[in-house]
Amino acid sequence: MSLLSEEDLNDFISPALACTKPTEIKKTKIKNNVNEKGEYEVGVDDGEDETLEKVTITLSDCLACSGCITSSEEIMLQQQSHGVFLEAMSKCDTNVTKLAVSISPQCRLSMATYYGVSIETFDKAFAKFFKERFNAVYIVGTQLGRNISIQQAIGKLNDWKQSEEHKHDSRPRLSAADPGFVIYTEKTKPDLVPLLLNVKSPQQITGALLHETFNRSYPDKSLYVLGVMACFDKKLEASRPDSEGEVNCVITPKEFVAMLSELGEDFTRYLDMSNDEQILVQMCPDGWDSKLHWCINNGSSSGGFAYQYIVSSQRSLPIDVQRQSKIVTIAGKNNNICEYRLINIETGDTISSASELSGFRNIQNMVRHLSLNDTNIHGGKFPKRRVQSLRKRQVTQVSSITNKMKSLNNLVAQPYKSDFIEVNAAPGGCLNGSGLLNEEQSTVRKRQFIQQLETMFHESFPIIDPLDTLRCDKLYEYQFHAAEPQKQKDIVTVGNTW
Amino acid sequence: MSDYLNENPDVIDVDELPSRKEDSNELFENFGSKEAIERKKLLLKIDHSPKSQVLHDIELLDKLLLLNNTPDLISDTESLPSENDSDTNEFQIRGSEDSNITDEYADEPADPVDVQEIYDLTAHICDPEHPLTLGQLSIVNMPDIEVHDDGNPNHLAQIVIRITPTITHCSLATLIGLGIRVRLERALPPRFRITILVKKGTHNSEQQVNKQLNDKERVAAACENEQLLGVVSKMLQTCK
Amino acid sequence: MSITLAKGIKLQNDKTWSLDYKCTPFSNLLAVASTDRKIKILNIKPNGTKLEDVLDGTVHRKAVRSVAWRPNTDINTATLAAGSFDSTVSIWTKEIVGNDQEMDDESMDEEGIEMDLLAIIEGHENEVKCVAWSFDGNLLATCSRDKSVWIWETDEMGEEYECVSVLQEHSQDVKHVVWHPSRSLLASSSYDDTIRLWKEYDDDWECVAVLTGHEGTVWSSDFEGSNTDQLQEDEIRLVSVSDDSTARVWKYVEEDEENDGQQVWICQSILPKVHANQVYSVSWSPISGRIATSGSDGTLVIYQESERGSGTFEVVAQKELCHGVYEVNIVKWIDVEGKEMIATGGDDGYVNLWNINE
Repeated sequence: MSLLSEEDLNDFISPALACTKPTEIKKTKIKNNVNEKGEYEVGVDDGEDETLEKVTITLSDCLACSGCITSSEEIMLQQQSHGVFLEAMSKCDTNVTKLAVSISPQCRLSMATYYGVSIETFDKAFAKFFKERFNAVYIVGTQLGRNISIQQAIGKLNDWKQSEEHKHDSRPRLSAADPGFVIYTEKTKPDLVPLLLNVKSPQQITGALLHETFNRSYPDKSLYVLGVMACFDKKLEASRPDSEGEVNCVITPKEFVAMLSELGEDFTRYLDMSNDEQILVQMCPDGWDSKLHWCINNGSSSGGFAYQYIVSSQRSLPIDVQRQSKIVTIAGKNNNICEYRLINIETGDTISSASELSGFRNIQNMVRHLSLNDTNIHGGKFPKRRVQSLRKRQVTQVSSITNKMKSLNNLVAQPYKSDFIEVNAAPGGCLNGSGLLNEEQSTVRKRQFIQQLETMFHESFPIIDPLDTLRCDKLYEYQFHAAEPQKQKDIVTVGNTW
Repeated sequence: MSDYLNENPDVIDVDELPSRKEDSNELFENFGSKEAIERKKLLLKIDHSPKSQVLHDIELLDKLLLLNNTPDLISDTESLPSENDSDTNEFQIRGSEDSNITDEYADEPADPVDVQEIYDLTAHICDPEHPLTLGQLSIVNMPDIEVHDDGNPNHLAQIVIRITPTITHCSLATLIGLGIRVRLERALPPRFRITILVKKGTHNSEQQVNKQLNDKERVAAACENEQLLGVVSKMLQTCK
Repeated sequence: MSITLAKGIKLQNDKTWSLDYKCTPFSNLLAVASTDRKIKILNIKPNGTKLEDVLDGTVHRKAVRSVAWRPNTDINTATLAAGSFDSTVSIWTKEIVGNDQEMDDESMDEEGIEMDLLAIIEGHENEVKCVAWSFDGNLLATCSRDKSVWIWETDEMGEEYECVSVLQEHSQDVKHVVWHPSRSLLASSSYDDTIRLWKEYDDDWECVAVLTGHEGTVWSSDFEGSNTDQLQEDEIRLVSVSDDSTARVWKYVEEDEENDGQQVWICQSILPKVHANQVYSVSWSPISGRIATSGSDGTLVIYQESERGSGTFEVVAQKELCHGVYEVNIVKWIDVEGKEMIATGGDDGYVNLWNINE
């Protein structure tokens, strides 16, 4: 019954963070393995809680390297297991605290496939379960949050492109929607933190919206928001200090299945009851369009930020330029990199560009390329040679294209010259999240599988245009904390560094 | 009843730590030759009991000693012509005429190291957390030290030291182990192969700790880590 | 058969961690990595061994752990990769001039920095333990205590490096990486007691086999060298050495039908036990097919297979205390102008060159 193991916690980002003491312990239920100083005591496992057993840091993690998930994150992860959720539900006063559940489209696809049903059937059964079992008030998809996230990201990008800062530093901005990448950047590449586009992810915005809606309707009650998300890093995101009051707990589809089993529930019972046509409308928060939040948008299956930015760029062109512009998708040096380039067909100029990039190896090349010591910083110094990007294929400068249409096939992706890079830690993005119910298979097959999923994803949901929906004035922003080089380290931490 | 042997150690007074006593010379009274005495001392190192049957059987003793002999580096006729004189002084080239590569210790008389000596070297190392030494905290104990040394500078020798950490936290156990290793590697000649182990049953992750403490590459890298070296230096400050 | 010392060369007071050998038309270059951070380049000639170069010791902040010459370069170019405990990898290059000018005293009296620093590659989170070039010189594999193996791609110049893959499947430090001599197959040896084999699929590298059996850290491994007429297409063997003091030979059997892309390997044999302690290094001669091992006990052992491919090896020679009472860190078969010798490096700071006498 092991759900969380060291391998799962990897989540594709190199576990490269030295063990640190947690900076903050939330007051939610913490297992008794944490002493009063907030340190994680090892070895004092009384074996009471089965779910906790596998999450315990083993000493082999501790000793093996300075690169495991930090103990603080370990604790944050524990605060988020489905066991915690169940306990919270059992302890709370159901008259005062109500439950809302949000679920990402990647999870819906994964779980519908797992149960062998259509997305619609799954959604209804899912809603039915939480309504009957936990008396939930809201069950939502994340598209509303995503729309806002996309719109605000584009807004910030446009502001940035006009700004003074852009003149000095035109390095691409990076998406902050993948919390694994954000934490990695904060902790190990602090000089890249300024490049993070400070817009919250769909998960967080959805949580915030749920609270806002709920508080309007039930001002004297409180809301507990459970998110069902594709990977474990999403749990870390919900536990960030700047995420308070948004999402209380995140579980993955794997844990959902385990939870059902623990509760003695059979999900097929709810699937059979799926002729309840109104359930989704009933569970929709007041004032929300009942269909919209279950949709998806065009672009990558991890949010489509890069693509939507380019679409928005094109739309904001004057009509005559718009007519002679074209969005070209350029494959990168491997299938985890691609660039969307808005090109003026007549002149051959690049109007704007945004890229998608995923997987640790690509993130590595990217961070090395973008770090301050590189020569592509205007006026930057270049003390030592660093790793530079290798151009595998022939490069043809876009501006020298004369035979326009034909030459469009010879373009080479240049993600580091984009305005924006949508970064995902998992190769292939959220559809490859480690919490999903994809069957175990060799990595060769897995890659083919992810590609199939990508196609399925776009065919399985109704598609809406995120740019064409209501704007939201309230900004949803993170507070990034670039790690400072640690001077004072306690002896336990130092002892762990070899 | 605590799970770990040494969780709450009785702190031993410095004066009460085992130290070298006078040689009990009675043992050697009736032996004539100096050589024989030396051999007997050597045997004592291998077989700790003075009452051993073997001790009284010199023939057997000689056979035992023969087994320990490792062949010297054979010097052969040089198959390549002699070196160019232009080989620099920056580094020394030895032709095959030299039979003994490690000659630093060649002039010293055979003086085997014993348990007491290892204890003396390690017992005064300070614990990384508390202002007490490993000896006082019974982390290092005489009965848990093994020495196999014939005193010959051209032979390998082995030391096995078992430590009894006071707490379960692995990183402190590894620090203690690292401190001991640095101390011993600095103090002892290179012929010694030092194995540091956590005493069985005293730590719930002893295998991992043992592996780390005896990985020369890990240790070498740790010794280039400034912070770690700082901690270790502090630990070794209390050594005499 | 006997092993005799041809030359003992003291290069520094610190440990000799690694060495690598490359023949060029005008020199037989032995690169030596040491704790003292200065990589030394020796030219081994029958009429004398010269210290050609001492590379800038300020490039790396910590010990240089591993060096590897790039194969398949231009005939006048020698490119060296060096991995350090400071977590970086440096790349150096040298144009080899084929006249005596190169060999005279003047050039050696200088600081000795004749090799140019081409690049410094960052990425690993902590100590780099080993660097290795693929047989065609296009790919560089590096491994580290951070449990990962990285594969880098570079161009002809060897100036620009891009990460092609980050392989994170070992559960502990990766101690050593080695490429097959004629195909794109990589073996990594780890503190987690296993060896993993890696192959390229599509645009990424996959682990195709995990070799388990050793009861301790696997320190090093080497592929059976291909004297090309002798080895068949699917004859792939690997020898590995470990903390458990054994040397094991592993053999590729076939592709795994049930698991796409996976390979089936078996442990063909455990070599006769000679070593008493950890074995740190192994080298499989591509010329004679003999295997040489050495380690903590200082004994250099040579094994020969009774019948090629049989897996039955016997000890044909051994030499105790090759670096006196110091441990031996590296052993390599080298071909010095037609004569096969062995080079070893030890904690005494020496590099010893050995003759093998039939």
